[in-house]
Amino acid sequence: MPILNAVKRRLIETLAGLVNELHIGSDGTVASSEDGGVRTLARISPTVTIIDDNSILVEGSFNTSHVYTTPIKEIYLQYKDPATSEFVPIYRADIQPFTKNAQNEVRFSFILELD
Amino acid sequence: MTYSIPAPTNATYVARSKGRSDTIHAVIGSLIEEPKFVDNAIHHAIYETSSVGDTTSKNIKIKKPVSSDFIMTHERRYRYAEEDSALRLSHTNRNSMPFFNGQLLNNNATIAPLLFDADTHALRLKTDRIINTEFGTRIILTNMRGKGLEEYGMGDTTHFRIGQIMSVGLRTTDLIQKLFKDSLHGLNSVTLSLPIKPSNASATSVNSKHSKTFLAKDFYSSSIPSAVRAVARHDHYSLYHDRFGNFIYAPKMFKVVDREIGQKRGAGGIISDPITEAANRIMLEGKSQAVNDTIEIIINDVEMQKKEGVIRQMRVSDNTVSNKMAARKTANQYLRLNRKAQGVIKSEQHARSWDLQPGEVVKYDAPSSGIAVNKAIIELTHESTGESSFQLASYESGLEGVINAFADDKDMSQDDKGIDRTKQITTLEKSGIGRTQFRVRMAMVTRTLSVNTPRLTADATITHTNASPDIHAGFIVGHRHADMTGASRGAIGSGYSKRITSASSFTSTTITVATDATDGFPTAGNLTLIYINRGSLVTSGVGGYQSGGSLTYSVATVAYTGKSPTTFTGVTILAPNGGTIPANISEIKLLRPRGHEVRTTKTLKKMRTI
Repeated sequence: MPILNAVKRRLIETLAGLVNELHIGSDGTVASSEDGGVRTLARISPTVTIIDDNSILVEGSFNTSHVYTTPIKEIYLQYKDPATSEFVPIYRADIQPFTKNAQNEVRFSFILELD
Repeated sequence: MTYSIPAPTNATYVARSKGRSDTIHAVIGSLIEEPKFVDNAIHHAIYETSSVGDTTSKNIKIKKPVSSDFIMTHERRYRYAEEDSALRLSHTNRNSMPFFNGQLLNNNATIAPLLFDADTHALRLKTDRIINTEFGTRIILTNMRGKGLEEYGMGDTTHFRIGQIMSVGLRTTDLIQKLFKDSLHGLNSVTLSLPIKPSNASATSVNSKHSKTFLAKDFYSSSIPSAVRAVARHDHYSLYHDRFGNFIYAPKMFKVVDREIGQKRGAGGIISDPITEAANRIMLEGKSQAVNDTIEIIINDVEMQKKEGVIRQMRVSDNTVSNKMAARKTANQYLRLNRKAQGVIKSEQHARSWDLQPGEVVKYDAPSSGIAVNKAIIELTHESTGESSFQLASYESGLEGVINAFADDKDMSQDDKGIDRTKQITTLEKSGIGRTQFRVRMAMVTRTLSVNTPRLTADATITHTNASPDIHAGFIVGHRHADMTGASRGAIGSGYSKRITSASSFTSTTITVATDATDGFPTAGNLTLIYINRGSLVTSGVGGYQSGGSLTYSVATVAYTGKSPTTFTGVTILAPNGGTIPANISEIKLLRPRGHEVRTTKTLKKMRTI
């Protein structure tokens, strides 16, 4: 019995409103679904675009002004309630270490999809 | 002593002044003094997860109860007349429709679930519904077809009380810890959450792992593993015993990790090995609460039955289920889990997988079988030869429950009882399961930028401006217009700067030019001055110096700090070092960065998906 497309669209719209922070962090622990945080180096508000009824695109970039001596080892998305500071972790990935300095820029793109 | 007996009224609340506590407390304190003259009491409260705005909080709070959520067993006795599958109840001293719990016992009333023998509380009857009658009230009983009260050992019953039983238990997560009290055996610890590591430390709290399910169950004479599994079936938590000897009882034990195993990384054979038989109908038997009570629910997965064209039934006994609503919920859960339990495979001889543990979900890639899915590791064996063997299940939420649900439950099963299969009213229980998946794909794009290349000038003392409109544009194919706002022209080569070709003069720190000749020059900047000496050969003085017969062209670079329509003010010489500015100037050019210089460059973008 399939979940109907109409409610998937509604879920996607809800999800689009829930992704409001993109963090880069320095913890290289293997990512698992149990994770709930990040050792943050920097965070930005990503651009969230509803691509279609099933998916959203989340994008954020860090330009040359972001300079860190500690390598970036993890990427993390979360919802943070601006009023209460309550947060809900959404996604975390550990990546090969990447040093962010004044001579490079990086863009992260995520597609969150309800199948 | 004279006793005053109150006249009968419609209200049946008879609140004793002593020995009874039904106060609703606004504040929960560490010390609650009521009641005074009994040694036990139950405080009701609603235990729930709080939410703030749109965010579900991790905090648990206790709320005041709603009195209509539970029915107090009242001390009032009712006489009865037995009918076919029913009892007609009335007050002991009148025949009209009786009252209970402050309301008339008609077919709109909330009926208490049980009738108790007024003298022996263990003899209980399960009620079904109320039918209005002229005298008393008729309460329909379940499972009484062909049987009277005598068959149930209630032949001597003269009066009934109405109410319900209440079990006092523990929060399941507390119960599990109690079970292990003084019985740790070889375990290092008993905890409710996975070990804290940097990536989950900020979100993992003890509160978030406590269940909100309460269970009252006598576990004496049960082995701890059986008892824990029985509790887990109730709250759908799962059991985990890690490699360090810690026993973990947590709601979501399977964790998706970023690892891949399969043929590409070395693997042997694969065989299908389902955890349990495929069933599309679950017959669930719970624990009865009364002599005429039968908790038995049959739930059909109608979608699967239609798809498979056959009904496969499975009988499950769950003695933590004490009413039909809970039975329905549990049976539905079993059906849902049964689907998940089918996609189990055994995969052997994996290389370089020594670090994987049960409870982890890995990507399993077997191109020859066309399998490339997330699989949960249920069981594994690491050999000293470096090979690992896995029992893998298709990972879906709730897989933890599969393992508990279909584990051995013989130890906890109740005594067999005859089930009344002849029902007056048949209730069909159908189930439907809808599923959807949530996936994330991530891409990372990096691009390297070179550092600024210092601009080459004849004299290192000159620092070119790098502010608008003279921001270094890097390597461009094009040509600046002489005017700052003019359009560029297509060319490869040097730029063209604003210039004044009419004669100008210099005095002190001011260059005087023709009226409005400074139009188009910035308010401050650098100038190149060219002046021509005729008829004599200049042998010394300013540098940047060319001579040709009687003509001498001299060049100087100066800075100015202000301008008017006819002057550049604040003029100081930059180059040549130590030179002087002549009084007569033939030509003035704005010194600007050249458009063709190579400055910051950007490499091609590199993308990789995560």
